[in-house]
Amino acid sequence: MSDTLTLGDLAFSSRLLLGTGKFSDVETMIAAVKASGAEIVTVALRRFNANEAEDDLFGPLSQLDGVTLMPNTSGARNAQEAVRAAMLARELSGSKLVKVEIHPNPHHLMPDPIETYEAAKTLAADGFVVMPYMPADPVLAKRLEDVGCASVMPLGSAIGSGHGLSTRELVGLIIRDSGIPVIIDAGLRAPSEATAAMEMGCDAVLVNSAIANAGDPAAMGRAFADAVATGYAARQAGLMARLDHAEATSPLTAFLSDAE
Amino acid sequence: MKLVVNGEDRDYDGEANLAALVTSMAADPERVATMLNDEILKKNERDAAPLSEGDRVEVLSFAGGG
Amino acid sequence: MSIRPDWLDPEPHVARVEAARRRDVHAALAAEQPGIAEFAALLSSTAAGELEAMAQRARQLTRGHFGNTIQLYAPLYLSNYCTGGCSYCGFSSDRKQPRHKLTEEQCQAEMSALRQMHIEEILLLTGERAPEADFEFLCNFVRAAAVHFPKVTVEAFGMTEEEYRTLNEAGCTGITLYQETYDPTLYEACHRWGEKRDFATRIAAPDRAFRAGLRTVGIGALLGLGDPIAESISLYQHAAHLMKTHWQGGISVSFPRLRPEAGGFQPPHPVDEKRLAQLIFAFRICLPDVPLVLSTRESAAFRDGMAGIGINKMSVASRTTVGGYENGRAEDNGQFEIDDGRDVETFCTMLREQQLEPVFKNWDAVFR
Repeated sequence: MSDTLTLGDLAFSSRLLLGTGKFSDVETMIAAVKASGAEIVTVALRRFNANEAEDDLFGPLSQLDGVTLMPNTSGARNAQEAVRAAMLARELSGSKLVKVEIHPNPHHLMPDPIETYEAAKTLAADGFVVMPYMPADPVLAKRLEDVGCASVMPLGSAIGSGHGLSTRELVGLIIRDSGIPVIIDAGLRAPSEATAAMEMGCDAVLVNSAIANAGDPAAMGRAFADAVATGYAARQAGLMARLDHAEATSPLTAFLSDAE
Repeated sequence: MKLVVNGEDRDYDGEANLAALVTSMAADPERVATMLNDEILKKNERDAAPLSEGDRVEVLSFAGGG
Repeated sequence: MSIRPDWLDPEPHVARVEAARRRDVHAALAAEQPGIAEFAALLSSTAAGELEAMAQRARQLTRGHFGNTIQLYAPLYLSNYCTGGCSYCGFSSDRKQPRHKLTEEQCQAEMSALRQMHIEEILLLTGERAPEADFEFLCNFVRAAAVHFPKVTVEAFGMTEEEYRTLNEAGCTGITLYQETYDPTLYEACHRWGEKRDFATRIAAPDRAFRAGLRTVGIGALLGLGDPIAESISLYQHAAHLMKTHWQGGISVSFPRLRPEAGGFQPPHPVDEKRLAQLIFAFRICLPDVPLVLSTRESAAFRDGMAGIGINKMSVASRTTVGGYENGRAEDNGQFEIDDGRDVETFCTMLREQQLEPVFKNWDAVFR
């Protein structure tokens, strides 16, 4: 893991990605983005409505230095819709970063692995830097890598649930085999969970609800930034091993002679 | 003429091109993406995109999302 | 530019082996996600002093992933014709010994002898590509074996991707192909002539096999040939590379050990049993879900001891001569000398006494 987070041909120094949904107002959101030091922020495409001009985040976000927009494809229920959303978003933002997010079930919002795969394949072939939000499935992760995704973004737990890194075992397998960055997306509640994700070898985390719904979003943004940096530093430093209790069994190596 | 703009019926009597429609909606042309009958039209293509009766237009902007 | 890819170079990690302290060894033993750093620590002389702890951890991981089972297979030598010049091998073309190859009829007899021994996984072997035993010869026997055995693997010569594809279509499930040594200079010195002499082509053979759709590739270094620490590090890196690159492929690691031959080849870096055990434990601890294989080159006592503590797959009742099962041809020299000569029943009894279940088949080629 180098100190730079590399996504396709783009390089970033922050390992905290921020979602912009659910904030009470634009000012609060902008303050949180600034405090978090995030260089990648997600946005969603919505139908323009002059009466809700407050909703237009493009203006205020484009004022921020060093922030790259990562449009998501939320609202798309299949690959075809997601591809169209991505194309529209690229036209608007000029950024080829795209978060593929397809969750057809409106209740639990779990990502559709098949449609996600199809959309990722099409978009990667079209030159997008594709960041798929996905179930924590090690096989799907390799399939997405094979079709040219720039990262995989397995969920820690359900979107907005705050259940933390409940997919830890599976994420461990994804990290072990992945040749592209692994970013935990969704489900985190506390900064300590972001630290844990980084300690176990994730390359970055994407947080939205935990910051937007915090008592003081800007302060929580800063706390997450520190937590991610801490987890990353701990990973680099090499964690001490967790010691097992010795097993009291008879010696297994008595059959080995000293010399042949 | 009758158009369907962002999913809603609308009577439009302005200049019959996409750029003019966007302006009529009080949208900043640089901050919206547009689609005419399922075809994505770039910012610089809107002037030359004529509108006709029954066209479906989508005008989209960035909002908060995770 | 070296002919050895950078990712295979052991040098950056050898220093870690030398520097490893007890603390590093203990950390490696308990690591949740062991990698090359942990592996290096477990190869150290410090770790050699912790062999019992390594065995305990290896046992726990082996049983955890593979259960209380040992997979069994048997080799079948199709031919000992060889054009290769491997200085350490009994089949080398300059060794004076009678050459044979199986006829179709003899092969059927060998296979039915193996079937009677309940063998379900068969490893077909030849020497280096020779006019008497070429690719076509091998393919024919793969087709014949696939009728009787659910798992047919091949240990022969390095092939092209196209040949591997043909082999796959013939019913081969995987190959075993040792790099022998990961040191390019030593490699060239040992492989004196023939197509095997090309290090780079050999090292990329497992990649070609996986691309061609074969399910499994067994890799290994011939222990005794090169410095065991450097060889083990490269072998680990080779395994890690294959797992990352070919995520649908299954790899296994074998531990073929050269023993000093009276009047024959003297391995320059002999590996004793304790050292061998340490290497196996290190691989198990750092690759917990990779099958580790031990052949009948090793003694009965060593095999009994290693079964289920690191090793989870073994050959059994092997004959390393051509036609060895049917007529027990005794006048020839095999490719290597067999130390554990027990028959299948005796071997399985030993396993059961250790509460280990012998597994002959864990896969059926129903959908092939």
